Amino acid sequence: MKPIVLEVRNLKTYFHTPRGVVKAVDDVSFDLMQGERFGLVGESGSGKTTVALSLLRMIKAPGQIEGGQLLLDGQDILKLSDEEMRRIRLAGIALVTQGAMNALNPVIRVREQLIDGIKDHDGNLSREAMEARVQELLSGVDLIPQVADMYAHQLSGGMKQRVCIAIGICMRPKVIIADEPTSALDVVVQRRVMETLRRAQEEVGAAVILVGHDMGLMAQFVDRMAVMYAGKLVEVSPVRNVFQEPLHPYTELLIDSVPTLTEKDVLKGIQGSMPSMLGLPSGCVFNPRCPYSDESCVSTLQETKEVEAGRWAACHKIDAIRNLNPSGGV
Amino acid sequence: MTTAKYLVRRFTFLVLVVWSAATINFFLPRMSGRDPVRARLAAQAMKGVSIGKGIDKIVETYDKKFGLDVPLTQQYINYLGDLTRFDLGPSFSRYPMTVSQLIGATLPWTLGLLLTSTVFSFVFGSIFGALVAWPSTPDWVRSISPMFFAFSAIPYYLLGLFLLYFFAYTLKWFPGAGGYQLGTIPEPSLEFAIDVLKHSLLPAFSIILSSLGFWAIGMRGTMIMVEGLDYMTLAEAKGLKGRTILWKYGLRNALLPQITSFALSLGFVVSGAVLVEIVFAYPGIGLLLFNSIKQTDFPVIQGIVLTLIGAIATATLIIDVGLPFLDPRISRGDN
Repeated sequence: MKPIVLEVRNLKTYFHTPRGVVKAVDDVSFDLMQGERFGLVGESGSGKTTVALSLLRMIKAPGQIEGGQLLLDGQDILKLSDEEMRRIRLAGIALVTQGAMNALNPVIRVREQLIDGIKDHDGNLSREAMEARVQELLSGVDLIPQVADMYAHQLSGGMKQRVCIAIGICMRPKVIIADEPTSALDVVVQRRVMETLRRAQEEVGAAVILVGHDMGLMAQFVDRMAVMYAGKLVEVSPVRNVFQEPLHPYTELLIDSVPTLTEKDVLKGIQGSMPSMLGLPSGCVFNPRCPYSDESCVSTLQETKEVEAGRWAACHKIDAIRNLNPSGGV
Repeated sequence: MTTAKYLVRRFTFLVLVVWSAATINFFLPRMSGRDPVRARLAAQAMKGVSIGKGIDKIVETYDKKFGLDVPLTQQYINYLGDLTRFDLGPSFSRYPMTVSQLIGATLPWTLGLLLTSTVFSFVFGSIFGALVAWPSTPDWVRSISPMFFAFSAIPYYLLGLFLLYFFAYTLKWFPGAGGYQLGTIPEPSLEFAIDVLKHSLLPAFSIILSSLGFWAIGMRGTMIMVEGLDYMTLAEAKGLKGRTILWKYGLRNALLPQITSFALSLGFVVSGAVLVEIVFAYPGIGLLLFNSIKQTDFPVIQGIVLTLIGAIATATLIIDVGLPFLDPRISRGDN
């Protein structure tokens, strides 16, 4: 097995709002292997972007990382000073945001936006070395050299996204967090951008955390997948297993709600909606919407357990449910 | 369209604006049907000045002197011809001084005072406003901001009176009136320069204190808006230094709307800060305008208005030509 590059241990990120404490990320743990592609899915408001920003220590007040450990190559980045953490960003952990909208500074050229990150980490390279680096980065994401002289408004959505990927890999980070990198692109461009991301990632040997809610995209891109619900990880499994035999009832319903091309059917959803983050149900957070829930789900504390080798789930009734549906489907 | 073509078109537009303003400026007073020479003589007569039977002769002489004896169209053509030579005619109340001479004597004072204080309050107000909106700004910077916001709510002439009372009368640190010590002769010496500076500090401060808050409020607003944008998040995730994010990403973008209002306010600089100049008896164009209105000196008023129009039109031209360099999204239609 490949070595672990990032260990997330019991991460807790809370927002202290006037109306109460919102546990946006509550006791989340997972490991990221070197060069691995890891998916983080969940509904809007489930806390997946908060996880991403916590890994970069970019949580703004009233939010705060309350506890846990973030071990990057064994070093707890939560213990670093602000300046040390700044140096980790981009060089250790890089972020690729949704680039199609306004991730790029509208008033400075692409070249300058590729260079400034390197400058603020490495100090100054020579002009020629810097230019060579810019061209290398651009060609690495299939962009023509002239893009360096352009401004964001002169680029298409897909081109802007490629620039964002080029920025993300410019310091050869160990971890790339891609937060919904393709959600504003059409499917054809989406596919090509994801191929670029995959190639760039393999080239620098970085692990990728793909944050999003597009199950189809996840199925094609990631090796392992984590499912988030109301601030908790409810399941972590290899992607193949997730689709073939989901462990947690929420994962199961999530996969069932993906529309298929072959069947023309009424779209399935999940009954009810996410609970208010200010008043989460006791016991398992999913129990009010879960078809298998009973009193024990309200009274038993939710815990994430390794159900089988390499598969974790936060449901105490896993065994009972599996006996109910041996094939895994509902 | 090439840049040269664009500039020519833009400059033609400027000339048109000034021409139409000058035309309105010419015809508007003449549409009132009043005869300025007779009105002036009548006013003199009412004050007890004996004019006697020679009034028609006097009117005729003055009409000739002021070029009012030719048909209106000919007057208009003469007026436009004079304008191209910056000859704005003689002043009524300070004859034989010409309007150009009067404006020429007062404009440097106003420009010196207002240009400096406007640029100063814009630069420092904008930086201050940006810092107030910046999360990692020390608390003491933020804690003095209410003071500037309060000052901006006080009219600058009241602020001027307050400064005058406190620093000129009570503490006697600064002179209370004028542009330089009475009795001295303006000359290019260090002594005179220091004297001028001493005289201009209080009026400058009343303008700076009252407008600093205005620029700061505007900048704080756009800065807060910019901070919420995606490129600021990405800038932080790129591990850029705080300084880089603040200047290159935050301020650089938040400044764009400020620049437009700054350029326009520069245009208004030539109209003078009338009230400040009155309060401090500062020999600028604002005081000249005030006195000319009191003395119904139409040529001077028209001359000042025309100067103002020219300045605003020029400022607009500078914005139009310069803004595409600052914000590449604004194009001149040449790509």
